Amino acid sequence: MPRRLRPLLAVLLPLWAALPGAHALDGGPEAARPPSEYQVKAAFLYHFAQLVDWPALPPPGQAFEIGVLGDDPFGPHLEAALAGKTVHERPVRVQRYRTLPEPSRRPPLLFVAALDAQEVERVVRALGPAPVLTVGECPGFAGRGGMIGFRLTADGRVAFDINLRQAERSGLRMSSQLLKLAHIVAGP
Amino acid sequence: MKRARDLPIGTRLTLTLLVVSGIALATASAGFIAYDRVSTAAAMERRLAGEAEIVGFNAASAILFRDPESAATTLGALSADLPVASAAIYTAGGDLFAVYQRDPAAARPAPRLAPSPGQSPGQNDVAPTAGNEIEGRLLVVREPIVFEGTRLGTLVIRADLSEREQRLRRYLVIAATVFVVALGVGLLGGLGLSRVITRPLLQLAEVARGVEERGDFTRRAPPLDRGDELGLLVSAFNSMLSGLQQRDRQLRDAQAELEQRLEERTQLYQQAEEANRLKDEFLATLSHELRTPLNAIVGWTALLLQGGLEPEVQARAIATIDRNARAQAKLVEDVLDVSRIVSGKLALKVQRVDLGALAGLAIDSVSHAAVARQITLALHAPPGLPAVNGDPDRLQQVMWNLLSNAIKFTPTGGHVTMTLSFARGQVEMEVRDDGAGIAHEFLPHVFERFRQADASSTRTHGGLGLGLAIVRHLTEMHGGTVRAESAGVGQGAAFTVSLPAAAGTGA
Repeated sequence: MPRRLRPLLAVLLPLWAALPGAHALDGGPEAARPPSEYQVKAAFLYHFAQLVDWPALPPPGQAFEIGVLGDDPFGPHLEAALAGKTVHERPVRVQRYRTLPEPSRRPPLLFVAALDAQEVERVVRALGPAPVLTVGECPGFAGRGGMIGFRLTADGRVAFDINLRQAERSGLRMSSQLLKLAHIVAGP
Repeated sequence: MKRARDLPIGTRLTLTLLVVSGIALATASAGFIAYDRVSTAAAMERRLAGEAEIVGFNAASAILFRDPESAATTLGALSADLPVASAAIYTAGGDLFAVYQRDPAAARPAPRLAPSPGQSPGQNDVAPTAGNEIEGRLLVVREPIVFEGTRLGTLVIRADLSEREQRLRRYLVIAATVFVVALGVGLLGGLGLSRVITRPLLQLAEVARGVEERGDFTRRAPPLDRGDELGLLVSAFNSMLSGLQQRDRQLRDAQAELEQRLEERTQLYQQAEEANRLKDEFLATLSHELRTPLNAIVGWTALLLQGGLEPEVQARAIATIDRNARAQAKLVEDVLDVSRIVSGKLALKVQRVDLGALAGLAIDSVSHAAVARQITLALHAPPGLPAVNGDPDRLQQVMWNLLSNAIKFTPTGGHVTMTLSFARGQVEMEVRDDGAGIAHEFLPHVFERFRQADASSTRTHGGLGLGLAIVRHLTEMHGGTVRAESAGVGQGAAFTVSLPAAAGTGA
């Protein structure tokens, strides 16, 4: 469990459990109460996948894999957000990694859970120009060679930065719909 | 209130023109405005729907990533030339997500999206909830925001239709202006029409009235140099007037001729009546004149037959009988003369006649009667008087008639003068007296047969009234003329006979 989320969850989870059918409201904009940060981030991951074009994807019918590298901060929210969803006409599947997988097995979208800047830079360097959309929540993630970095605004909203050059180097094409919502940052 | 059909044609034409053009204009304007209203509303709806689609698409990611500011920016990009009052994005749950208001003071959109008809609350599928409706002056366009098959929310755009009302007012003003201008043009056209049609008709009517009131067929309507119905009417009217004028003139001529004939007939009738009356008078006079000497003759003859008369009485009786017999013979002679003259059986024994010698004889033959009434008889005959060609007996009869006539109408102690003269190839013989004279009105009739100034049976002067008629006839048979002059009753009279002097004689 992500360390940051834990105190919040400790308060919220008993409340959810008390509400009948609370899980049915997960991730939906019509949720009766404001969704949690990782519910939002899980939904965002899904939308990133929708709004980015990859130069090559696995053949249709095979799963679109969303990888989580390192300690998974999402808990059940990622699976909940992606249940039954498709991306580019492929069913979504979540795969968690302890270490960066072999280049042939690397997923098109990889959430880098590491919060340590050096660790992030190491992963990014290892990936190089591979067509892997890297998303992270380490502060300055996009500026350190990541592609999309989550950030919290002053009013507690989830926002994100995009390192457009890094994405283009990897042959990924980001939708203008995505770009217009992001803060574009320069990076290595 | 005048009935429509009593109005002048020009006014009716103008009114008809105005009504027809007014109806046409009103219909056209109404149709145009209605079409414009419908089509502009439809066009606005289409444009709004198009814009809503674009904006909804652009706002999709903002909903996905929960970025209301970006959504508001997207809404602000709504076309500036669309009358958008407000635009709002609601989440799929119906919560207000982002708002754009062109006028910040206007009412904000509702914080929750009222469910559209046919959509159950909380429905979260791709069911078309697009639909437009009118809220007062607002056109509400609802556009579902869908991303990758998922309904994200609803875009609600409210467009202000008051611009459409302004547009309608503008059109109404324009239509009214066009209407007024068209009516003005129609009015002018109507006036022109009425001038073209009514004026000739009025002129025609005026001429017709003039003809009717004064019977003046010389009037004509001013001709129209036009081949239309009015031109034909005017020329037909004028030629009808010409025909009427001609017939009127013929009628007047015939009437005048009839009147003249009637006048002639009347004159002839009067003359015949006059002649008849004169003959009756003459018969009365003749029988009276014939009987008067006969009374003396019969009376004296009876005395003579009784015998025993004194010798001087006897001689006087014989003389009286003789005088009366002669007088009666003279009367009969006169009647015969007139009869001969009228029937043209009187023949003249023409020879050269010395009027001076003849005048002497004539004076001698009447001197008796003059002396008996103490009338002074005078003859002025200048020497060397030219001779005339004529019958001496008849010329002497002329002189004798004139002289005895003068003596008869001259009172005792009066004067009778006979004067002979010669001038301009004519020998003139004037017999003048200072007797009874001739009334002015009788002067033209003195030479007519059976005419006497006093035709009553109690007249003072005897005679048949044939003497002067015989004078005129005989003078005219000699190629001469006779004229009578008198200043009036009691002023005396003068009779002058002019005879042409015989060739080779004269001064």
